Amino acid sequence: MAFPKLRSTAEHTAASVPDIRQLAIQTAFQILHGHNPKRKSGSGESFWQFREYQPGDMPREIDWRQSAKTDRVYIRQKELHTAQSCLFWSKQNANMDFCSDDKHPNKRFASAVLALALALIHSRSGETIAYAGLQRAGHSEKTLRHFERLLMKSAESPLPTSIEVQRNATFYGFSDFLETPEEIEAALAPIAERTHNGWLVQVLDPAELDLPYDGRILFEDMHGQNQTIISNSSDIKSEYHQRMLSHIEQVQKLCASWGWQYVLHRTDMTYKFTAMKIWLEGAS
Amino acid sequence: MISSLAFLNPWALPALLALPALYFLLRITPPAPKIIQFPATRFLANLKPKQHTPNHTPWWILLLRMLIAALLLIALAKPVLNPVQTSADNGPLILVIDNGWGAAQNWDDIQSAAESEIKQAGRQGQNIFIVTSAHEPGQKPFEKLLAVTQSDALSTVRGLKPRPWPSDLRAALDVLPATEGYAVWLHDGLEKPGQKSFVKALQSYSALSVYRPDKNALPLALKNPDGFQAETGILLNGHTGMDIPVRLQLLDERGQLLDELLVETLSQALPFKVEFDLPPALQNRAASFRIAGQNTAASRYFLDSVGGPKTVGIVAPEKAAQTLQFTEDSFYLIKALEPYATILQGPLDGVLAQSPSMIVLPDVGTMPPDTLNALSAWVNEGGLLLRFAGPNMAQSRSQDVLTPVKLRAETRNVQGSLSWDKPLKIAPLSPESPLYGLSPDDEIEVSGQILPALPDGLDDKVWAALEDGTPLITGVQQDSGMLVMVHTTASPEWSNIPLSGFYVQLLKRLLKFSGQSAALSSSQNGLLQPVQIMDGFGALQSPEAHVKPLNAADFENTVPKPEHPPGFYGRGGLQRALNLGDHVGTVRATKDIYGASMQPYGQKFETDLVPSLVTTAFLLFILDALIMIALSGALLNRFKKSALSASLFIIFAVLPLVPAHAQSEAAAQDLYLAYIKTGSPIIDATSNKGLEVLTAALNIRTSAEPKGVKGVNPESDTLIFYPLLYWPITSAQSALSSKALQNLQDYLDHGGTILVDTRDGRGKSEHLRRILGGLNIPPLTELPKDHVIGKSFYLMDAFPGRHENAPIWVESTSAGGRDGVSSVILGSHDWAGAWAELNVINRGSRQYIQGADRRHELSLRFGINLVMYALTGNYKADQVHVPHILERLGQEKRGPR
Repeated sequence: MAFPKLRSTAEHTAASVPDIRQLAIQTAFQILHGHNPKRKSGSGESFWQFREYQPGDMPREIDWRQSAKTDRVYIRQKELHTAQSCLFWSKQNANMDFCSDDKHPNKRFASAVLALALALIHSRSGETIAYAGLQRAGHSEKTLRHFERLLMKSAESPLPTSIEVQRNATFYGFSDFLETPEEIEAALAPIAERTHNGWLVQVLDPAELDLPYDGRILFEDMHGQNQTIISNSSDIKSEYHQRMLSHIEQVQKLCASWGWQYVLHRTDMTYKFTAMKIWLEGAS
Repeated sequence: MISSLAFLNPWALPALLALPALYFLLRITPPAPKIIQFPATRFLANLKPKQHTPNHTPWWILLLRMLIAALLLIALAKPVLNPVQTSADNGPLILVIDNGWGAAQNWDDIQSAAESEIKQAGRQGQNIFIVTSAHEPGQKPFEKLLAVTQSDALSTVRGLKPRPWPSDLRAALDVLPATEGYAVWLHDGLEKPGQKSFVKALQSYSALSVYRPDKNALPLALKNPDGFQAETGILLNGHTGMDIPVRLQLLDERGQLLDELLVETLSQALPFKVEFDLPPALQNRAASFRIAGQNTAASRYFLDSVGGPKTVGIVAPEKAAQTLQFTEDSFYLIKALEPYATILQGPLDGVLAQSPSMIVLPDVGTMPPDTLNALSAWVNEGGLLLRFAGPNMAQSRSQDVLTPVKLRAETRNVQGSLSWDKPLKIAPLSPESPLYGLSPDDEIEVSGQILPALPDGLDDKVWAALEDGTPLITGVQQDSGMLVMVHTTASPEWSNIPLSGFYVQLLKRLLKFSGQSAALSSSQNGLLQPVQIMDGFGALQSPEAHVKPLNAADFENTVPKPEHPPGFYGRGGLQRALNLGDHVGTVRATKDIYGASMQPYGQKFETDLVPSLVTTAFLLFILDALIMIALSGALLNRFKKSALSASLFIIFAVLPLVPAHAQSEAAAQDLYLAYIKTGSPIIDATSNKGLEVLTAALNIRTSAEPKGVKGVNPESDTLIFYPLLYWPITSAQSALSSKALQNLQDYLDHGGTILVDTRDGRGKSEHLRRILGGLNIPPLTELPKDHVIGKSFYLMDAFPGRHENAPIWVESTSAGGRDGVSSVILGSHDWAGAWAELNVINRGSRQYIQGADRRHELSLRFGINLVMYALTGNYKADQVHVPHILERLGQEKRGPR
């Protein structure tokens, strides 16, 4: 039967149609717009204080309006923002195209929206963002556009192996993390050594949690391999659910061991909820 | 009717017993699993469901599949509905098919019976012999097929046609095959000559069964009525026992129904005379009879040549040719003959030169010898000369020449001053008279007459006589022609015959003779060519090659046969109808044939059920496949998507229609000025602006309040909403399409007015001719000084636009119904250009027109006058306003300019 394959192709195409960016911006703005100001003058965007002109200051920094009020000459100082860099990585393989129902997006799309939303928030806060391993960090519009493209279309990468991470950069990993805990640990441990600011966002389709199927079904992976015939699917539902939960638990344990944080996003949930959780907990 | 069912391969039926086994098999074999691509397949490995029972195929799918299997098995058993009683295996089939004229009535039954018999014989592998009972046209005397297979026989039977001549059983007897076998005779239901010996021959086969039609479906025939007037009566010939009435129809030449009679035949002895009671005017049109519901060649009866224009020469004195008086003979003759013949009037020489089929000589006594000879020769060649008596004739010396009888040289004046007699009536017509059937009115009185010289030897020449036995109309054959004499005047001078219906009847009857006497007698030995012949179903067709000309002398005795099928034969103006019904003898239903099984047609014939069973099974199979696809869920999604796009498509296809409709509705509700789009953006913009200015001017100054301006394309827009069209003509404009021309013509013809503006100030342009050439525009004239357009609102004598002093052209005489409004006003002043030079200023709710100098003002006034003219017509031309206008004209003259 050619239908499932056709369908996945169709959905792959369809998934890129809704504006990811739009959704991401919406999500970003729904979240309390938090800054991480450093409370000292620097090269930030916002005003910090007026200071009397001293030799050596750049003449163009003089605030003439303020200076005209008094006899002294003032320069305008801006608040210093340290540029924190955020690295994003999203799983790239056929698994991410899975979608059990037209009502919600596939996992790739959900991951992309979440990542882009977070990236937007971070870049607004003056931090630099990058797609891990494929992009130089920055916060320009160009960087964001490139970032968006990389989220949807990148070379296949089931796990973030051999990625350079700056020390103490924030790392966001989006994946369904259906690999074995050993594989996940092997891939992520090098990153965990470099930074304690880590987030694993496990994006799962509701069907992957609940197995809402009935009857005799031949399950195969997204490449049409590893077939398993289940003669009575409804019968094994709870057993499967148990297995999945224990797997999630193992992933959470891994996170905790590195000092990282974990969040589970079901594709039928709203982006806002997950993004808010990540942002607020990350800020605290 | 109870249908019976039989199986030709009953051995296949026990296989149905295997169906329950199939049921269990289908139940046990699980359906193919659904395939689902699932990322978390890894977690499913080694998961074992507690219940190992396979999921069942739904019971209704099982039922469906069982049904398919059962249908196929039954189809294998070859079921047939209404199987023909299978005769024992008794050799080849000898199929005798009646295809004489009577077979046409039940031809469909005969063919389907033949097909059913052939199929049955074919199933038994028997040879089939086909013998038809009527001669075939052309070389082949009989359709006879020896030992053919089923498919050959079927195609032969489908190619058979009923023939419009009788069956010939005696000849068919010779072609009956000399083999063993069983005979089936598809009988047309009519007793035929030679039937007895034919039946005997058929009975020599092992079995004989005869099909025959129901008694109400038997063919009938129409026959020449002896002693009847052919136009109104006919003989119905045929079997009497029908318990449904027969509908007899009388048709005119074009096949239109003139009259219809219902004839109950149950209690009548046939042949049965049927007479139509028709007003004479309809009788004259009678051309053929038909039995409704019958389609045999004998169910139609054509009357001899009714048509064929005939010419009648009326010899009248020269002066009468100019003005006809009530006293003139020719007046009455022409009035009576006009509807039925082409009339030539004039001196005898001129009339003869055109060789009419009948010449009427009203009261002509003497003739020059040359003319007399020519006339005599014409009669000898077949002309009919009709003479009327009269004073001139009574005085002439040569009255004996070219009259049926010798005449006395004096007048018998019955009501004269010297006579004691009363005016005489006409005696009843004798059956021997050629005029028999005409009905002389009772009111007819004859007061003057020229009597024959000798009373003896007149008997066979007198066609009509008076009460006292004296001849009124005499006639005689002269060589090939005919001389007829009416012994009184053609005018009401001597009798009131010319005022009665008898006069017309008489002339008509003679007109009929005239054709026959001319053509028939001159072609005693000649041949009549087939003109139109009937096919087996009584339809007239052009003759085929095998139809031979008929000898005129043998016409009456010709029995229709392949060389001479029934139909029209003739030459020149004459057509004679050869009717099958005259030659079929007695039409009787056949009796039961002893020793044969008689059965009616119209039984349900064998129907093979295999194709329908297989088709049903196939459709169910497709249904099953669709269900399987639907169950796997893929179909549903696809369907949803396509349904959505289909509905979107419909919405978008319908959307553009709505505003277009609304637009024309708006145009109809309010007054709009309109211009014709030329396709040049500059000119169109100028027209639009100019008309907008004019609209504003109208709104400011007059009670005509146009809502706006529309540009129209004559090809696609509806024009009738606009009272006035402004049409700027450019040299670049191409000639209009025919649709646009038609649209514009329609607009003009229904009251529209077009202002054509050539915009060049010259008033002459070649492209104007090219563009307007296709329109039917009445003659135009230069605008007269006092034309209404000069006073319909403003009083004006010049109409400048951007150009001045060019002529304006209007219709010279307006068509009726337009209130004197010219449909086209043609000028070259570029008015719209002048109007467009102005600007409309809106200040609050008020409008002003800015920039008008004298010339602009005048051009605007012309526009206002023009709209008023188009809207109100010529009422300003009425005298009602003359005093006002005169007064104002006077003031203007006096006042300073």
